[in-house]
Amino acid sequence: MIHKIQHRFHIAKYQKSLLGIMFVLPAICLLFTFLILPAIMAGKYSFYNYSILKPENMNFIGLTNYTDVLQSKAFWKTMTNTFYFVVVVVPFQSSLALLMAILINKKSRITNVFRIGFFSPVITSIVVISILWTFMYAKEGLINNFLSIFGIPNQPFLTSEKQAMNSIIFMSAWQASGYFMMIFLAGLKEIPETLYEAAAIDGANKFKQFIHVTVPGLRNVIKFVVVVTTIHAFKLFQQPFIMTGGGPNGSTQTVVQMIYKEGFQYRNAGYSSTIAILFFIVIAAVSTLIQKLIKDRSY
Amino acid sequence: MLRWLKKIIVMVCVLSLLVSLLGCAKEEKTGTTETTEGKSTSSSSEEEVILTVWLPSNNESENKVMSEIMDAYNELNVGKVVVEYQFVPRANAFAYEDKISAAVTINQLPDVLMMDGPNVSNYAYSEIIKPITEFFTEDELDDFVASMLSQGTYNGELYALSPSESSVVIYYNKDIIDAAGIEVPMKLEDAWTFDEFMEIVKTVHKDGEVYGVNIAPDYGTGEWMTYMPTLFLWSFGGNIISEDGMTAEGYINSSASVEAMEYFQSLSNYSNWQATPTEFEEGRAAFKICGSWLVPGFEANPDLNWGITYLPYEKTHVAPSGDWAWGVSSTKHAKESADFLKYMLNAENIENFTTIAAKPPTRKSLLNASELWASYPRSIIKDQVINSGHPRPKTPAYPVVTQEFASAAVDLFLGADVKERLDLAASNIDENLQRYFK
Repeated sequence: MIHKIQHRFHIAKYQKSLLGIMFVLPAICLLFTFLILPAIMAGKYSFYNYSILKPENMNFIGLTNYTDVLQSKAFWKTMTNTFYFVVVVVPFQSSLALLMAILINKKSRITNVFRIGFFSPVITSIVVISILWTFMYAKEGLINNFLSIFGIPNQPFLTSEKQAMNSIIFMSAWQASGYFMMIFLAGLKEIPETLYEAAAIDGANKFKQFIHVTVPGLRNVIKFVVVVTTIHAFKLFQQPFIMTGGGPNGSTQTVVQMIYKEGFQYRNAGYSSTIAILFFIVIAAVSTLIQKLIKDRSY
Repeated sequence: MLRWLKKIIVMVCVLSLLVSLLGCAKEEKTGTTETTEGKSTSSSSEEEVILTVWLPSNNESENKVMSEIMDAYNELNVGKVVVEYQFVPRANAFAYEDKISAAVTINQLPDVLMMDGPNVSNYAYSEIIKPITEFFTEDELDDFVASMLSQGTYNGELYALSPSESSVVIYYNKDIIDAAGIEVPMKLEDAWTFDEFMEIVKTVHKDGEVYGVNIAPDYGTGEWMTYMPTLFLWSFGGNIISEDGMTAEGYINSSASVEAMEYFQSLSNYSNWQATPTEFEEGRAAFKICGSWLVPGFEANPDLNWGITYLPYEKTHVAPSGDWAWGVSSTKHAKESADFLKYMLNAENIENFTTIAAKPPTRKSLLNASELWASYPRSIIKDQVINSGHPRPKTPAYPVVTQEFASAAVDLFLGADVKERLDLAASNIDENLQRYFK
């Protein structure tokens, strides 16, 4: 009897896992075709001299692509640009999102208006936003017109090497922070009101409450936001592609843009796969590091 | 019993999910064959050849006349050939070229395709297109303007021909120029020198009100920033790349090239890089340096009092030329493709297309016979096409060359150091040539 039950239990378990496999199969198939397989192929191409227009001339060249990329000034310039973008945009965008979340966390009639206002850039296409901001940043655009009211001279927002990347950073943070605001908002709702009351009784002012109650309460959310924002920021492409084309003087050229340019426009699939592989290693290392850093800090 | 029923329902659900996924893919396939069948049912012959054709999507009127010409071909060849054409967007960038690259990797090139003139050598080198010299007799080829034959030739073989040519001209706002009392050259030999042009630009430029010159900026995303700045380069005696298309060092950064690009850079003092597309039309720029293709639009604009004149020059008078050209891929249907190509390039169809597109035809017989092209403003474009047309450099690395030069030109216009920036472009181009073409 016991034996029989055990046997039936086994079959049920087996069938259950079969069913599970069936359910994830479509997703796995798609992921494999469009993510895993191309990644493996990129790994292979990175060891080949492979021009898209001459597929039959593909030949194995070992690590030559890697040494070429690592010696290329253009690669290190795009790497520096990308890191600059990440280092500035991650704290700026995350704190902006947190600030907005705290602002609309209060119960009031107009918070819904703000919520829609802050969130609407997120659901607008980044391409549309980039084009709009290109006009706004123009020499005779909206922002310069506004600044001229205060007697500030025309700013070359997108046409000067020093300002172009910062202009893109500001726009990107403005665009994406609404999304992370929603995540912070959900986190804030999780913090029990009683903790604030207790802190207030202990004599903590609003700022101290924020440091000692809100921040520890949001620890996991902050970790999530920072990691996601970082990975997202590394993939910067559309904004500079549309707004500056990587210029002026390559100051907004990012690694992903270089991968695209080398691969599709210059048609050097091997070389561009090498950049992609190296870039993947960098992103993986950085995001592991961030997770470690946040984990180890005890509040 | 109930449990079995449950299981069956679940299995059916899973299966239907899978089938629907597969079904999607299959449906798409049948969709396309259906359209082919839809077209061919009228003929009912089984030996009918299907020719696939790609061409860039330009403005509506150009697309319309192109489709009319190709539809007429289908009617002439009922039962023999069906041309299936597709207009591919260029998106003000290199979207069309990207599509061709993608098609090569999966072996899905069309039989006949149009390509931008300077890409001919790149595609010929990559064997994407086949020589078409044998399709034409020498007399037939003699009728085409020299700049067009030069553009389509690579390694002594003709690979592509275009129905239309292009040129860059100077448009001017008549009200502003007349008010300043400036006389505009009406003959090629009277064309301004670059120094004279700069003086005039300075006098008509009024800070914050009217810009001296508009260069039709495209933010450096397309071919324009190569096509237009070369007019300075060549006229000053510079070049982008060596004659054989294999070395940039000593050409793009030669002293003549540096001088030319310094002149180009100095124009930026009287120009707005972030100009709105209609800056000139609104009377906020005195001159506009742009392609000959703007003429019909300006003619249709009653509010704009405009004129057109020759490009200025330094040593020689040079006008950039070149246009989208027809070529044939390594297709199974070589005979049919050749026939179609010759049809698209016969005098009648070139005339039909170029009249609507308002582009100068590439056949000299048409240019010389046409009253339209004999009278101002088009006579100026015709003069430049016949006498000073200059195709862009011929090199298998053209995609790299054009992007490196265009982004250098943008950087220079925004104030980069000329020699340094051109040196960088030279080393970038040579690095790529070294890696892939030597």
